[in-house]
Amino acid sequence: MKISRIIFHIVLALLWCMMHNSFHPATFIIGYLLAWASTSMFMILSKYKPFRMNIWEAIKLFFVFLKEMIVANIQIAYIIISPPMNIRPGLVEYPLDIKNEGAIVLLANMISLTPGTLSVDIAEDRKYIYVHAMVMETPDQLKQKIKDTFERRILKMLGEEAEERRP
Amino acid sequence: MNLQEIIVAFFLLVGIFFIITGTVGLLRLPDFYNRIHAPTKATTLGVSSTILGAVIHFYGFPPADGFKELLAILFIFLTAPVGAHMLAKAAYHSKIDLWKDTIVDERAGKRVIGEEKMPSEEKLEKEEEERTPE
Repeated sequence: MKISRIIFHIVLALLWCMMHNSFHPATFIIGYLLAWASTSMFMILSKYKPFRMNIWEAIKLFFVFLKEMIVANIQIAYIIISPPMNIRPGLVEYPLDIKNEGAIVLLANMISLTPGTLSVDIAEDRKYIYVHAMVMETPDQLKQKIKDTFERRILKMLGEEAEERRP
Repeated sequence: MNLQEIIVAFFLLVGIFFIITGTVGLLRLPDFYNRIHAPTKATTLGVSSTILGAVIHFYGFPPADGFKELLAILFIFLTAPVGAHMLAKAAYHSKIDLWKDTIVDERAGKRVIGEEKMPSEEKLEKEEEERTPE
């Protein structure tokens, strides 16, 4: 058994403990066994490929995301409240560098959670995400911003290098 | 008024502010896609800070108990974007029109309003002048 899977099981077991509001060893062991059973079953039943991740980069990504979300939330709140609403909405086609499906879901959720952008659809061949933005200068600038803040960091977290691909 | 009450008040005020903003946005924004933006985003931050305030109020700071409530924040963050995504996807596939002043639509390989037709600064100023008398 790989060490990364054991860490994952411990995290799931801690979530189980939180759900029961008790950190008694018995609760933890039951949670660990349930985590092991459910992940094993998931691996057997689905074709999902797990992705390895660098935990340090993941923590950094989390804080960058939190900061980005709060800043953007305040910007959007300001735009909504100010009397002449200066919105410039648009639907852009964002080219994906990430191949792994789980990581694509992570990126799409991050885009949706950052105020001002919303992932509308993902192309059949998993090469593009369609992003609706409420405020943007130009489409290219928006794409560059998503690439710089989120996608590069996710790729770093997966331990891959971002390949340069122009839209 | 001790420190705990100040922290609770801060979180509750922030939460209420964002929830109100989300509601106002839902009413004011022009089309369906823009309207989804306001409630999902503002509500995630608003609801999570309200929950944080509640946890600190009932279990002290730092919270000694009430981890179940903290889990609720995690699940809001996991489910809200998925819900918003599915609503937007359903709207797009049932061909609900984008707002008339939408700048670009890169879907289906066509641009509704090309780059050259992007509203110039003059036009924006004009629009502002038109709006101000209201």
